[in-house]
Amino acid sequence: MRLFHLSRAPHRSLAVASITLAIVVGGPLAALADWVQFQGGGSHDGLSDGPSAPLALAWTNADIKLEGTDTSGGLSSPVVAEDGTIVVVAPTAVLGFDGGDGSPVFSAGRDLGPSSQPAIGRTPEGPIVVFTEGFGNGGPASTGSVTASPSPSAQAGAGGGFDSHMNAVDLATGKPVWGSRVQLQDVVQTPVAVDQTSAYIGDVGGRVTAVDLASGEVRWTKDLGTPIAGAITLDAGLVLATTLGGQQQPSEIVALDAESGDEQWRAAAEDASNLVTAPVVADGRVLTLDALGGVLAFDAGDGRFLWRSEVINPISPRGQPFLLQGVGAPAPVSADGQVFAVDVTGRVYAFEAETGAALWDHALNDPSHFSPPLLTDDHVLVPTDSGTVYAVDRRSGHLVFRVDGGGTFLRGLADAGDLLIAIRGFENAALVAFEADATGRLTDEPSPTTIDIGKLLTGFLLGGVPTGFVVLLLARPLQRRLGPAIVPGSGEESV
Amino acid sequence: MSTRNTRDRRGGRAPVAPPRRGLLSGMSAPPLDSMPRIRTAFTRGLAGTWSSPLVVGSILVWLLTEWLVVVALGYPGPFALLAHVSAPTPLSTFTDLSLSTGMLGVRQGLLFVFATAAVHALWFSVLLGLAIETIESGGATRWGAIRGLRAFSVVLALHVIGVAVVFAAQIVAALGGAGLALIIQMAALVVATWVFAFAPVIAVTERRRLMDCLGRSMRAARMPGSGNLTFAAIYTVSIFATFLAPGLPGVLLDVNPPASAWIYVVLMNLLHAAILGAFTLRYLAVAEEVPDAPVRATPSRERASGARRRR
Repeated sequence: MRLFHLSRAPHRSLAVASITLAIVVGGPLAALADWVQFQGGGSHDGLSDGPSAPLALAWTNADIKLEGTDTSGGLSSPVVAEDGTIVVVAPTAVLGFDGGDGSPVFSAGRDLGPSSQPAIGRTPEGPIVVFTEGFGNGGPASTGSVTASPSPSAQAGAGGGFDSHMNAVDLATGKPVWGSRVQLQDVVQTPVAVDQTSAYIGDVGGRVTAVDLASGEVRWTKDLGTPIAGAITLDAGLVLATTLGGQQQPSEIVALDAESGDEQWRAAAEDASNLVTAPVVADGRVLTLDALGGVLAFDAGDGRFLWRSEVINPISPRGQPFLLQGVGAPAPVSADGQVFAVDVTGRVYAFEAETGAALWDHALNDPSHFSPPLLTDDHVLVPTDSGTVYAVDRRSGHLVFRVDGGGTFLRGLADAGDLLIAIRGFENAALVAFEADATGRLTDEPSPTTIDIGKLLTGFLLGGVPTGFVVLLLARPLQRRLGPAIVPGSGEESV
Repeated sequence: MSTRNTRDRRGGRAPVAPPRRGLLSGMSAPPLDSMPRIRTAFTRGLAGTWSSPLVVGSILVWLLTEWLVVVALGYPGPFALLAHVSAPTPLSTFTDLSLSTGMLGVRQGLLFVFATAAVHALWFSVLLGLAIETIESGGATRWGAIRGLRAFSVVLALHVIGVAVVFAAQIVAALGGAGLALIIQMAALVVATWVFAFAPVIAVTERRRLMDCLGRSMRAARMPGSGNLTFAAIYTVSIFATFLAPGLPGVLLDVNPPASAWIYVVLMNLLHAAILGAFTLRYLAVAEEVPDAPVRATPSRERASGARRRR
């Protein structure tokens, strides 16, 4: 009997242990998030395995107070830690929120600066949030003051300057983790990128800086000469940066060795305009966008130019479908042999990744100035300035779903496991979360740029033709009453 | 004719150049009696063109045809761009530029703009011929349209000039800064409309050559007390305002415009047709008073040979 009990006890314990393990480990696994930097990972491909359309608003946290002398920049696009913690950068703070309900988790002070997207990196002591702060020498106002909050860099603002720094805080506590901040020479308006050991930023002066995640020491700096146009991209031991270019310098993608910072290759296209996005790596290609509507692909191994397709949009401002938007960073997304891009007017384009041939486009007619799209298995999800998230079918290019985010300037869609997180508004910033909606129904709307002869003629017959008839009916009596404008034979007008 | 003539030493009659005036000196002059008032001219132009089934029908057919063609060529919208396809240059230049760059992109589109301009010049000539006929005879016939083709070369030249005006205005506006940009652009449009508005009418009614039409149009526009600048300013500024007005129908990327967009576009084109009628009436009313071009002084044979001897 004892033996029997003994023999059964381990089985029960094993079962209990298994269930416990399933609850403890399996639960978080189901909600595992992996969106620790701009567009998810170091390659910035924007690929998400999170929820897709139909979506519904899960929760909103509009109770976020922005402090500082200039709050017009609002919040940065969010990043999501593995444990689901959502992190955003506010003008004078780094804020953490619970991934389940959006409630505040931590707040750490930060020197006033552009709300550039932070990144979450790993150190032996645990995950840390790496962010940039300050405006460099060209601050917003000489009288601006650094927040009085317990910033790890509070003393650095003394002296009246708006220094630019890279800094890091512990994800769990919000406490500073580096002995001193990393001094930068220029302001950073692009997202921070991280790999296993280092954080990388590109500043407006054209310098790429690599910093050790654990110690905060600068590993190397490389001056590329012209402003860095988007987030630094990390792929196969290379650090890729897009330079905006200048009057004398071309706009290029520069590949640096991740260990040493030594230049490996430079890539440019003859007919390209200024490159305005991060170099996105997908399926062995480096993808980027230029200001005049170019979607470009280079070989990720050696930078060889592959193709450039140009999108044409008559309503794009100044004829530029893709714009450099400061911290609002556009970028293409790509997967499964397709490349997608969204222009500032909210027009979605699909291309064949191999050749660059245009596949389809869909005009949402809802501007999307401040954020790249997010790619799920079936849809391209586009956050827009009106606050709506649109889902466009990847294969057909038809609009299949739209959901309102409850406010304007929705941006920075991030995969938080079972939720999609986004930011809306600027000075009245809010954090919003979307979840899969089992009750929602997908639609199938072709792009309004696809001709529908019946619809076109209906508009003409209901609008144009009646207008012509009404005009004739009104003007003919008037003309009869007035008589001819010029008296026949006299050559003079009968006024 | 108001040109005063006198006899030269050889007893022949030589035209005397009109006194030199500043560009805007005519604004302070008393109203020109023979020039119909702006309101009258507009009413006449509106009644004449809008009462003609041929004019109204032509506009409807042209708009539908052009839209189908440009959509087939890849233009994605906005449809509202066609609102000014019947406007005189340089207002219609925006349509030329936007259509060509909207189909081919900025780089190739700028080269294609003259092809678009040629098509629009053809349409404008036809519409102008119809408008002139409604003013002259109270109705329009197909012969009026054919007669309007006389103006094609002049209208095409004006479209080319319009492109230059738009680009020059943008360059000057860029130099002047954001605050002045709008004013500079609008001023350029007003001036170009003012000085060239009569040129196509002259080409049709007087069958003059290109440079003669342009010069005569300028002189007619500058006649003291004519109110031409005021008319051009009211018209151009009103139309320019529609370029900037938010919420107009048909301003989105959509190749299947709704009824509201059609109403807007058809009405705007009818408005331009009425303005063409008004320009026609105002020119025809003063045509015989427009001063001739000043004769260029050319060195006489005697003076030229004397100069050679001195050398």
